[in-house]
Amino acid sequence: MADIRLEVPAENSVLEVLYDGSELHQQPPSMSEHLTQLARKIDFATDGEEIKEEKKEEEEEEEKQPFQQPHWPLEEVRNKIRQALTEVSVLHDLLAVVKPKPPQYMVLDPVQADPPEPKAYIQFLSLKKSLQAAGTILLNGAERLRTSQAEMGRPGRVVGQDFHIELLRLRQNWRLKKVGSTILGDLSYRSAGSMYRHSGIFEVSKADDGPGGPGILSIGSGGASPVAPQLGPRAIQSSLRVTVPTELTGSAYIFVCIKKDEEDICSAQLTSSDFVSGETHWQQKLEKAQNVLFCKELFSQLAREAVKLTPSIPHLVVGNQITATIFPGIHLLVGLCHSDGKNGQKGGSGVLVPGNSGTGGVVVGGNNHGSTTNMAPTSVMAGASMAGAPGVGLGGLGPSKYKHEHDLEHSLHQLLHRVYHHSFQHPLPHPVYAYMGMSKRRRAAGPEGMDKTQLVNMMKEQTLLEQIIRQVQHNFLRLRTMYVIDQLAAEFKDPLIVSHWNAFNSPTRSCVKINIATQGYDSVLRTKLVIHISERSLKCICRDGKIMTMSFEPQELRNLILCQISQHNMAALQCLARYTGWTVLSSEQNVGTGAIEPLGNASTVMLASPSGNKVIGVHSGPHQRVSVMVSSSPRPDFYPSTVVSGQRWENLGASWQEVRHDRMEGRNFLNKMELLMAALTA
Amino acid sequence: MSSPMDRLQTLDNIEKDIATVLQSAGHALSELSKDKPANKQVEGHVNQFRQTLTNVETELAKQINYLTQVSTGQAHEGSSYNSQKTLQMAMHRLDHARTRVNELDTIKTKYIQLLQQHQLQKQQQGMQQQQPSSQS
Repeated sequence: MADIRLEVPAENSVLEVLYDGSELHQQPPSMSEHLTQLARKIDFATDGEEIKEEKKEEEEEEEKQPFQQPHWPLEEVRNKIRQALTEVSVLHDLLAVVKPKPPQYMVLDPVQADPPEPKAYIQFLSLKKSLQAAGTILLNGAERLRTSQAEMGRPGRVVGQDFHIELLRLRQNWRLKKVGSTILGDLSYRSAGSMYRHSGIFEVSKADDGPGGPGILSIGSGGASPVAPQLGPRAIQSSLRVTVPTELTGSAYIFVCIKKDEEDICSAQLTSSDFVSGETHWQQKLEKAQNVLFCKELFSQLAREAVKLTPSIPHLVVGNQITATIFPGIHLLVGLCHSDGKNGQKGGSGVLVPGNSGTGGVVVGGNNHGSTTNMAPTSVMAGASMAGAPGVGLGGLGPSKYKHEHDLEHSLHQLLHRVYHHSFQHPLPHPVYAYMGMSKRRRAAGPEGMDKTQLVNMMKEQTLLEQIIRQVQHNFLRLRTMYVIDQLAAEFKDPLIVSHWNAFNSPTRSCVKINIATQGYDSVLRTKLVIHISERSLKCICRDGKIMTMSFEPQELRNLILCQISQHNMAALQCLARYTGWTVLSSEQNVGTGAIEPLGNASTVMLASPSGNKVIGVHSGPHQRVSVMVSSSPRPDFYPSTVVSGQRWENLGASWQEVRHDRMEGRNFLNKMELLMAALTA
Repeated sequence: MSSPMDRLQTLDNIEKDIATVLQSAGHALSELSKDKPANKQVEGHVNQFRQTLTNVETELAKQINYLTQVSTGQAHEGSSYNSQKTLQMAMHRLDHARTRVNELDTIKTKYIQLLQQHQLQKQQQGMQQQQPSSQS
């Protein structure tokens, strides 16, 4: 007998026919899938008998279920139906009891267990025990409260160093908020109008105590924080600790300097040697962190603008430095110095050697220079810097070569601060229906019918970099003008040059008044001129109302003042002649004869004595020395001859004789001339 | 309710009172749990408990009243950073001015010293010239 195999024919549907002709069959359904398929075929909307049948089915299914998958699609339906069945059965029973004709009552009684025998003593004992436990818990809690309070007001702690009081002080100056169980603060200037992305979040926590622990701090006398609480210089244990993000630790400042030489434009590497000890008072720590944030924002803004701007000589942005050309051969260097407290210097490759704790520091150059100390130049200004106390050095270069311009750094801070201010402060009054932040001119643009170019011009705003470059140009030009005037004043003693600088000036405009007068003859004549200094040019307003505009080249100013000196001498001489009774025969501002002046023109004056027999001629040019000539006619020794019979014929002009007035007595030119006049009149 | 310091002090006191409340309650319960509870002590503790509790309640109510008066539901979004920055810059300017004045002062003292030295030298020279003339 052969075995007969019973197997399911491969009649599963074909899922896919591959390219090689083989067929992928659908897998036969599992038991549960099969059941689900069957269940889908049941129609529940048929008669009750069928439901009963179904129920039987379902019960069978239920029996099967433990062996099958516990969850199947109709489980919920089944449960509900079952529940309903139970309820309906109960209702049916109830009705069967109540329905018979002599009505019966049904009483529902709770099932009662036998009450346990009350044991009074044991109960009493357990009560006592629980009372004692409660008492102990309460006492423990009280003890813990006491201990924590005692820790707060420990005698080692100065009064006012309580955590909450410090927190109050912190809150008075800094933004704080409570997130969950931690206290977070916000350092960023966003609430003041900044748009910088850095979150600037710091965390406030209770300092864990311990002798010599992180709570100890010592405040140096150099703490220049304006809002720091008045604390003594001794070590004080602070019960509050702030944690600032690592990128904001340490201290930073913006280094600004003006370089004059063409070479090594980007070879200077900035390093800062301001060390911050790990634990300082939170106020200083926060202030420094905020300063770091501010400097970073300032620098990133400047760098962005430097890249975006396209001047004729492009700005260089290398690492943490920006170099911009302000005048030919003169560069502005703006750098970000950030020492993050440990050892790393951001962007600087100079090796740092710890200086003597704080203000001045030592910077060792990266290349063949040995070590250069920079104590002297910065120690004076150390307290005045925005960053607190920077020791500035440039890697590989003599630190004295580049002087940190504190006022320009301050100007940068001011500029960014103004940006903040403008983002929040809108000038009042403005109509209620106007958008916030719109300027008055822009509001009036519609009614006034401005065209596109006007609007575009109105929207143009100077970037920070442009503004600071203008300021630096002005600063540089002012210093240069000052230098030229001082040099001239030191060089020329004869007419004294006195300059009065206007104390009130704007960052891009200042004014100097120059008085030229001769010593001892101040009342005779003063030549006054005013020079307005703007960014790239000078404007000089002379005494006679002439206005001259000069470029930034110092030689032009020098020439102008030399001309003025020459003219002053001539004019003063004429005034003096009026006092002494001499007559001005002629005065010529621009003489066409004589040696050619390299610049401007020479001027001459001719004076005649009261009696008319002596004539003084003075010739003066800006670059020539003053020459004085005298001619006298008639000659005192007149002997009549056959040709010239009378003395009156001698009144024709005689030959000129030069006076060597540099050998004459007298303090200055006018004095000499006065003496000369006196001598000639006598 | 004058200064925040006083307010913090009051809150501290309240906290101490709460500790006292807990302690007296604990004492009362442990006294009760003894085999022979002393009635007087229990009464004392309970009285203290009730008294301090009333105290705490009134004080806390005062504080809460105050807070409802001064506080709003919204968080304070402003900050004094702007003015602080202004202050810092003003301090910086002041420092700068001070430094410059100090520099001027140093120059002045240096000049005065030079002048004095010069005068001394002149006097000495004059003395030396006088001495030979008087000798001759």
